[in-house]
Amino acid sequence: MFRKNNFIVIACLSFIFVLIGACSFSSPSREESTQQAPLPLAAQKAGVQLWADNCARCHNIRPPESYSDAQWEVAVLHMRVRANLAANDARAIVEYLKSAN
Amino acid sequence: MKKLLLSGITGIWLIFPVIGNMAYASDINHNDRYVSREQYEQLQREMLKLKEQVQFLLQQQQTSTQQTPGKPSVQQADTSKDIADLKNEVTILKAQTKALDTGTTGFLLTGYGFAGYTDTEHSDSSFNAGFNPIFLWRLRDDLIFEGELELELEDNDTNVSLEFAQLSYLLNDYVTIGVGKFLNPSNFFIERLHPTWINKLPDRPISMGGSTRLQAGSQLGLQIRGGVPFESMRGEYAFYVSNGPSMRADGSLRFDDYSDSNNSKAVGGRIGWLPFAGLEVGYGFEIAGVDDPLGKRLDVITHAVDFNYLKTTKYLFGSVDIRGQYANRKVDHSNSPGLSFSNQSAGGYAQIAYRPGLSGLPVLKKFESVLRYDWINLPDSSVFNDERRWTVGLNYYLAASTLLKFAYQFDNKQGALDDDALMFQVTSGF
Repeated sequence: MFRKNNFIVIACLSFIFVLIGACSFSSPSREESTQQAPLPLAAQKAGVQLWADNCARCHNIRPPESYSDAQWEVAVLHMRVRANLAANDARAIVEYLKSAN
Repeated sequence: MKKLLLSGITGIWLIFPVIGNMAYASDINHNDRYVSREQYEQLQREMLKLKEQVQFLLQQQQTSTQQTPGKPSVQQADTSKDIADLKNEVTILKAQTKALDTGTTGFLLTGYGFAGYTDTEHSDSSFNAGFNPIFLWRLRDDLIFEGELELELEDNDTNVSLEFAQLSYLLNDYVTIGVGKFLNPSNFFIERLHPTWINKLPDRPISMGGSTRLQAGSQLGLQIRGGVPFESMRGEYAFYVSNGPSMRADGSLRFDDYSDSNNSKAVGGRIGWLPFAGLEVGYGFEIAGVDDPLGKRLDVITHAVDFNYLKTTKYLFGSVDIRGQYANRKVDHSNSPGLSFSNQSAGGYAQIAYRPGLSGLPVLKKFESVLRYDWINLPDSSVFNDERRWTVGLNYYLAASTLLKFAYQFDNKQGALDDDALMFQVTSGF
């Protein structure tokens, strides 16, 4: 049993490291994927809808003025992790919240 | 002849005035070309006077433009003072802005708090209160720390517990790796809906809390998760490996013993699907191992499904929120004394809430009605009782994340006294 459980943990960790390695080659660089490039107008419009659709799915949405721009960046990153938001959706939402603030 | 002479004289008489007038006019025009001595001298005096005035003005202008630096004019002095004041204000504002700047990291203190009152049929009524601060620290664009404390009153003490403490690394757009203590990803209600300002009733469904809960509230371990868009749809996943539960002497599982009681790690996760805005369905699972009192290793397998639908429509003058979750857990058979029963449990909840947010009556927009049915089936021959509950609630929203909840719960326990309850709660997310 000891060996079996260690195998599970080692397999999980190996999988993660392989995943990290694969992503570092196949995906855009971290700067490219995480930097917030200016969004086109269509994407900004979509940000309102994405904000309403994704946030209201679980709870009442808070008005944009309830947080500062810097605070929204933290809050939306938190919700991106918690609610498995798609990265582009999260960027569009935070851009909308900042523009409406 | 006389007549001719008379005509000549008359003509001359008539002509003379005309000639006289013309001579006079000619004389006037002739006189314009010349001025008298007196006029000339007067004009000369006036010209000299004007010349003096012009020279005086010129001198004055030169004097004002050639002021010495040490002696500014009044206007110049005012302008310089204004510029100095402005510079001073800009310096102060810069200092204030710099003081507020969090640097390259971002920090947010959020969370929620609540206070309530519960009166149950066969227990003493009691007030209760709690406070859950959440600390979010965005270290980089791809690195975030999240921590939550739970401070709750119990008897004479204030219980402090660590709800979650997790460091997450956003590997790319689709993969996030987290390590630490995190809310159970295989339990949708616990992970997304349990905070009091989100949960629409004052208490949790019976299978989500207490000693007979079917799934853990949190896990201590490592997880990989993310969301993947498919055109207008989205898929999401979360997989984890954690210390897992342990077993009590009565056959129930203990999820709050975070120091692992054996080397058997729990592996679990959830896959969610969002075919369109407002709908999310998911499947969660967990495979774990526990030791019975005789030391025998028993496998624990849990399956869970969840359904979440939100629709806002003018035809209903508001929004309908429908949710449900079902979980089934099976523990291997144990030969320990008192645990020879089939250790299989199931439970869940179904809930519908309606808020007339599009109603023409402003006062109605703030109300929300809720109806929930929740149940739990525990192993036959165990010390626990099956239970079913109906709960009706009415909420009033003071703000987007602040509400008052009133609820009445009809309880039905098999083999024990029913315990109906009246509940009140005020809660706020900040």
